[in-house]
Amino acid sequence: MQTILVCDDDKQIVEAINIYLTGEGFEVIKAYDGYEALELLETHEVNLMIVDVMMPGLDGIRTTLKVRETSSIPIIILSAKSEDTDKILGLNIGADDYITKPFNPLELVARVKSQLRRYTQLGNLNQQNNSQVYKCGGLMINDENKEVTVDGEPIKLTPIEYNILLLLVKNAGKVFSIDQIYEKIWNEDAIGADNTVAVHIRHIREKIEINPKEPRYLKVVWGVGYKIEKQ
Amino acid sequence: MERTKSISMLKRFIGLLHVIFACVTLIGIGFMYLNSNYGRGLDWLTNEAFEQSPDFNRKVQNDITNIFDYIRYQEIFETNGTVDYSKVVLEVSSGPGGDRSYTLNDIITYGKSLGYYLDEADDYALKGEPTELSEEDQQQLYVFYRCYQSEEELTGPDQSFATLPELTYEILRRFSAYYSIDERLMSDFTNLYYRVAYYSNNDAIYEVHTNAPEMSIDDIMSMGKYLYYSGDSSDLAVRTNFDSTFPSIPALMAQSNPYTSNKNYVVIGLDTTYKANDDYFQAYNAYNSSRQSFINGLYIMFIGLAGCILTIGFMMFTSGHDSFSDRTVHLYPFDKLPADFMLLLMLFVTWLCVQFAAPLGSKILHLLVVESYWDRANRMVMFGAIYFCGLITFFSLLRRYKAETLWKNSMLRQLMETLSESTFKYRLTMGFIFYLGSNVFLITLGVFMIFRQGENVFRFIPFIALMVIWILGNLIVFYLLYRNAEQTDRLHAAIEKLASGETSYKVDVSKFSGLEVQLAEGLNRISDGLETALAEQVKSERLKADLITNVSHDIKTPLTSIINYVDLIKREHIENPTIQRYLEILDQKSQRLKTLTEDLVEASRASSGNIKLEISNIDFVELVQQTTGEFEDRFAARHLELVNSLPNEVIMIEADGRRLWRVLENLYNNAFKYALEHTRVYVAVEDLGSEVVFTIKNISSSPLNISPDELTERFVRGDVSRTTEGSGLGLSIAKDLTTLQGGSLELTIDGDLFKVSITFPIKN
Repeated sequence: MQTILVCDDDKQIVEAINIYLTGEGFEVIKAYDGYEALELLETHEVNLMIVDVMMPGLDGIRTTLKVRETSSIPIIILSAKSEDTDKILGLNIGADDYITKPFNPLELVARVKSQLRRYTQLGNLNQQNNSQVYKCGGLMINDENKEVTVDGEPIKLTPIEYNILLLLVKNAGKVFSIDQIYEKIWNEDAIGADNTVAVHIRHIREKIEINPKEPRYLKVVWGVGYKIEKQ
Repeated sequence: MERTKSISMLKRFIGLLHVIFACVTLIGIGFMYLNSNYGRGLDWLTNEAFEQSPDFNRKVQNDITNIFDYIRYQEIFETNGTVDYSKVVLEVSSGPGGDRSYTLNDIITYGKSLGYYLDEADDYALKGEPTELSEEDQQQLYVFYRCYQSEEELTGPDQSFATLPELTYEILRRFSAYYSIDERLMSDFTNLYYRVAYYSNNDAIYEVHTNAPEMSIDDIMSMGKYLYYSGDSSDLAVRTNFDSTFPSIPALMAQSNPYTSNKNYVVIGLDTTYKANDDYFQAYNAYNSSRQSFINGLYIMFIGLAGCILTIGFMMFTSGHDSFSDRTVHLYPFDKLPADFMLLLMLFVTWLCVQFAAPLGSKILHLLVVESYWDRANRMVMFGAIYFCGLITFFSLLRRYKAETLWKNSMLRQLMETLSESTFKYRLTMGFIFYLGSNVFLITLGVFMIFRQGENVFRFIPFIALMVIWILGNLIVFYLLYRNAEQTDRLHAAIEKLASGETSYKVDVSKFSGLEVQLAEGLNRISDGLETALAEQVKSERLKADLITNVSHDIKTPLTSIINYVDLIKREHIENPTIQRYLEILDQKSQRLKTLTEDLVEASRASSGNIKLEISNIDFVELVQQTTGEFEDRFAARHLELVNSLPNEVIMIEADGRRLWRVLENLYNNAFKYALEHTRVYVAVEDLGSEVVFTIKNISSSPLNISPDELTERFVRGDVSRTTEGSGLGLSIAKDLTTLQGGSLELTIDGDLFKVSITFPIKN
């Protein structure tokens, strides 16, 4: 049984999260400010922490910083602040994920699970040093048996989707335009406007991303192309 | 008070002293000025004795001439060393049988009858003149012989004729000269001794003329001043200690030489102890006294000048103050006149003085001074008048300077102030009239001077001064106009800058003058006002955006609970269909509230420009393709067919890709929400060369009875009933974001056709 520490000054929100996570089989410890959270972290064995930013006393950012001094457990920030700058700040100081309020409960649970999987499977992944295996963060492609997993969860892709994803993962960090992808995958010259590639990309995102609108792996570089973020 | 009074008395006393000293100076100058040796500088005082003076040399020269004249006159009038009155001096003929001869006695008698006489008091000068001549007297006579002129000297035939009175006058004149010289040189009362000797080739025959027969040549040569000249060609040197060698001597010697030989000499000696009371003695005394008076004059002048300088220094120090310690300035009513008016007044007064008072003073001086000095005396009086007028003016100016009213209290300043403070129109008119007036006046005066004074050099100086003033004045006018134009240019540049949006631009007021200062200051105030207004606006927009952001945070927290608990209720699987419907509404509305708060923040940021753009080069066609790909499935779900018309090329623009995606997302969302089902949505990108236009067209599901402008207003939606989801902010955000990235967004409504076009400049 994995233990999750939920810290938010709004008790109803903590209670709701408690209900969702308990329903998924997690044990939940509740804290209502940063100091309380830090105390509970010392007394309990916690596998993951969800923390709000705007709290009285010690806020979420400083709490995260404190936790990072001693622990490397996954931390998900849950905040009403939806500005880019806020997200960047949160991720930079050591948080592993950033979810904005109001959040979709299913998404929250999915992200929690994803973080836990990555955290616990970190050791095994390193051993599979196979030239046919490509990985990028939680995303792993085994070209030998055409298997794609995200945080260990197997994903089902069509052959074209698979080829596109493989191209992008092989060249992680490089941006491919629609025409380039088309030429590489279909082995034909790209003739005029075609939405095929964009639609396929969207489908891939829907399959591998928890929130396709805020992709973690397959990023859209608007007006330029697509790429897999190098991690 | 007592002290002040005593100071005041002291000042008056010093003032009086100054006037006295000035008078003393003038008197000193007068002593030097009204002196026969005026004009010879100071050299003669230190370096010259009487015997070196030009007067003395002139006198000796005169006497040398006299000596030889005397030698000639002796021949005419003397027999054996004494005057022979019975000597025939004139032989004339009045016609056949009318031959007559006159002795000296006859001539003197006849001369007396005509009224001539010798003035003993004036060196036996010939005085008097014939009053009335009888016909007989006026008869022209043929002259056979006249004592004063030899036959050879009669050159023309007309000289052979003369009237008896004329001849008498000539003879008597020479006789008077003879007498005068005799009286001066041959008497015992002379300091000048001479000896003229002529030897014939036969040494036994010789002639000696002297006034000191008992003196040898050496005796004469041992005197204070001497001269020895020998006619002998073997003796060239003139032995003398006179300053002059008297070059006329050889000619005079030759003229009186009775022999053909040149064995002759002249010795002249002057007893410089002046034992005898002759005219040399008198001239010596006069010279010394004139010299003394010049020296006295010099002393007096220096004393006067020193006094003047001291007193004027004192007066300059105390002028305008009540006491020594008092540094405040008290002005007389006279000092309160405008400075330039006072100057003109004093100029006029000086002119009056020179014109009227000075001649009056001169008249008085004329009573005291010899006529030959009147000219210099007049000049001195004139100078005095100018000096005292100048003194009054100078001290008035000094007091003004001390009180710092010299410039402040002047008509020129008032004029300039009036000009610089009045309107441009008035200033220009007044300035032009003034300029024209002075030009016409000066040119007229100059022309008048040329015609009136001609080539008179002294009157020419004012003319040249006038020309200089005229040229300078015109240059000044040009300079002022130039400066004015320069300032106008500067204002123009400033206004241009302000108009083009550089509201922080400030004009350097120190570079302006006159009314333009106000203009420049006004401009600066406008700039300040604009800037403040702009800053206020930016600040208030930012505050508004911040407020909206904060409020949205505060809304989001309870909204989270609402959404989550609605979701939890839904998970309870309540069978009651009514409650399920209610829950559905709650779910929908809470989700809308969520998008609304998010859009609200974004809209406020976009409209206030409070967004940090990450501008890069992006392919517009690629972006449209990506966007279309994102929406195709959703459009298909609402049975909307997307019709693309994209060029097969890369069209690069400069924009923030994510923000532009947001724009297109909003537009696609708009079409997705409001398009009529089972219709087509047309998306097109067109390359217009310099810019690219993106259009999206759809058929609205509800009638659009609203203007395109209103649609981009915040919170305005096509369906007034607001039944559909959406915040009403999408188009507003799209428009603001497009504008922020340098593009433009335009809405067109044609019936139910709804069209949005976005234009961006293409980057080459």
